[in-house]
Amino acid sequence: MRPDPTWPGTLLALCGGSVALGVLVPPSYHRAVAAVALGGFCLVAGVRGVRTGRRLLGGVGIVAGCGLALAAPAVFLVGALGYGTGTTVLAGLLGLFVLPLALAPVRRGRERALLTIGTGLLVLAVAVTGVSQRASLPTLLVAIVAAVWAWDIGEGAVSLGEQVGVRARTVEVELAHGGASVAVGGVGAGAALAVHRVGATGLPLAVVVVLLVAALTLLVALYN
Amino acid sequence: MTTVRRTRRWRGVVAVALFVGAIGLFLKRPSLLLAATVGVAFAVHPRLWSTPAVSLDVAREVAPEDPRDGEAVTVTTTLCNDGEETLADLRVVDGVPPMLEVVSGTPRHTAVLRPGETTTFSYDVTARPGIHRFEPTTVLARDLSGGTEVETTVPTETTLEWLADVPATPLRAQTDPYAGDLLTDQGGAGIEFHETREYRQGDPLNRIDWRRFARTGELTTVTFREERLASVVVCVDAREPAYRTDDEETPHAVWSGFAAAEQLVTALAATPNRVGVAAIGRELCWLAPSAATDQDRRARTLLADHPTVAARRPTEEAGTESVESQVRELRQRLDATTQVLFVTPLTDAFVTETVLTLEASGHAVTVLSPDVTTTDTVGGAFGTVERAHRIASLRGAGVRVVDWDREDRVGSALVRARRRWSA
Repeated sequence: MRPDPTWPGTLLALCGGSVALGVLVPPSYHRAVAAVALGGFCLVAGVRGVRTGRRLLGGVGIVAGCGLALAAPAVFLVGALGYGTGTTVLAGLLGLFVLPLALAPVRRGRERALLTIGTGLLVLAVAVTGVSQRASLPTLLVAIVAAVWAWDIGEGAVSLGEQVGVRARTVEVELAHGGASVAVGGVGAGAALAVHRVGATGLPLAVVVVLLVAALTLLVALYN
Repeated sequence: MTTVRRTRRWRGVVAVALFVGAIGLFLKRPSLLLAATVGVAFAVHPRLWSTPAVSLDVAREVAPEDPRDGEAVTVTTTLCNDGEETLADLRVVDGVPPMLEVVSGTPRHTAVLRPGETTTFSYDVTARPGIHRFEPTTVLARDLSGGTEVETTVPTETTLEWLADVPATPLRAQTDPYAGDLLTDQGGAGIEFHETREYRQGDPLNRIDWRRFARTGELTTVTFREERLASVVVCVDAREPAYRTDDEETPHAVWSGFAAAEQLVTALAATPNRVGVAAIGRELCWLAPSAATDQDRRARTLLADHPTVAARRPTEEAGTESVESQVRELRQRLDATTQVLFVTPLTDAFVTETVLTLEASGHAVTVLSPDVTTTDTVGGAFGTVERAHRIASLRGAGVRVVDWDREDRVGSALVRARRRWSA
């Protein structure tokens, strides 16, 4: 006997929720509400399909469900805020949501993967903002340093948890490590600002670009 | 043994920085390119620090030193940085003896240690009878970036000896021809009444049953059971098939066996009987029977160091050949009049054959068998039946078997068995 909630009630509950939201929002958003409800139904069907062995069909259902359910807020945000800010906010919020999933952890063994996905989405948000040129350089620098620092401290917590466990006293070690990372990030950001100043006041852009490309090549060489 | 490894954890960051830089380059966004160069700093970060040199001193305190069975004992470990470098990310796992359960606190700790600084942590374990040795403390040291990790062990010498008392051990009737305290079935000088027999010339006058003479006019002599010394070897079965237990929370039969053996040796060493120790498993462990006053201490020292006395079961298959040669050697070393107290869970047929061989070659054997069978599974129930059959066949051959339920103490099981045998 499978103890899953029964189908009629599940469907009616989703409908009831949709009706509750539908009457509150202006008519132009009814399609969004319907999309989220349909996405929710696909998600339920997909999860149950995976559990009963129909893995491919179930997987498709889960992906479609998540996609539909997220598509509505995505469209809404992008419509309201414009492509640049909208995508940034969407990617960023999603990344921020995945971080606690990684650290809870929602799935043991997947902490590092989820952490990478979460901070990766945050870095994507930084990249989109950079492309859309809606933020100044210092803002971008702070954002990327903070995202990398979050990943560093998070991965440190996962590794400490694996080696020492959550009941041991780890505050000093984590703060020492975090302090060092922040300092390094600060130095890097400071150097980037300095290069920017140099570029803004005098040197031809080509020279600055060549310098930066050299820096990136150094990065490739240091990839270890 | 020290292992140095690179954790490579900063690789992902560098890769992402390159990716962002590539976007900036192709879409001509200098600010993104600049933001990506922050990655250079993070790439350099792990290379700024040298491999940590770990030089630590470990000291341990245990309180109370002489606990009762089941009492909580607090272990306090102190680490001191003996080296000249600061250890910025030190992770420690204390080597708790495998048979002791940690009930509160955790034997794992982290610290940032400058040269000369110490750090302390403590945890509680449940006291169990036996000899427990702490294993070397595992230490992992990382540099400040987490890019290099050094794993090493710090040896320690802490050994805990907690032994329980065992009331008088029942011995079988095989004895040496020396005066001792084991009541034999041979008539002679002694305390307990044996029989009345016809008077023979030379019998001491105070042994003549004068009442009978007064009644019937017959001269008869009363004899008493002679008291003689026994020579006993307590032998523990530590072969791979004996490393079994009935549930995850209870230690295995070899651990229980060695704990029982230590208690028995202590009890027997307090009597004038000669006691020795043996064990078969990885190799033959042997201490010849002796009535010396420090025999108890010698036995404990032997059991503390010998490779056969191990909490972990042997990983390589010690072939039957090597065990058979150990049994042959054991039989050679046993005197003709030595009896054997065999401690084994009776989990396979080889040990039954060994016991029967020893009994047949003239060494009286008593078997103390911890019960590690369980009826939770079908296989387990089968094992229970097999073991009962082995016990029955041993008893049928005249071997005394004490079926020891490990929830009782050894002493209680032995006292009950003794009552049964003398009833």
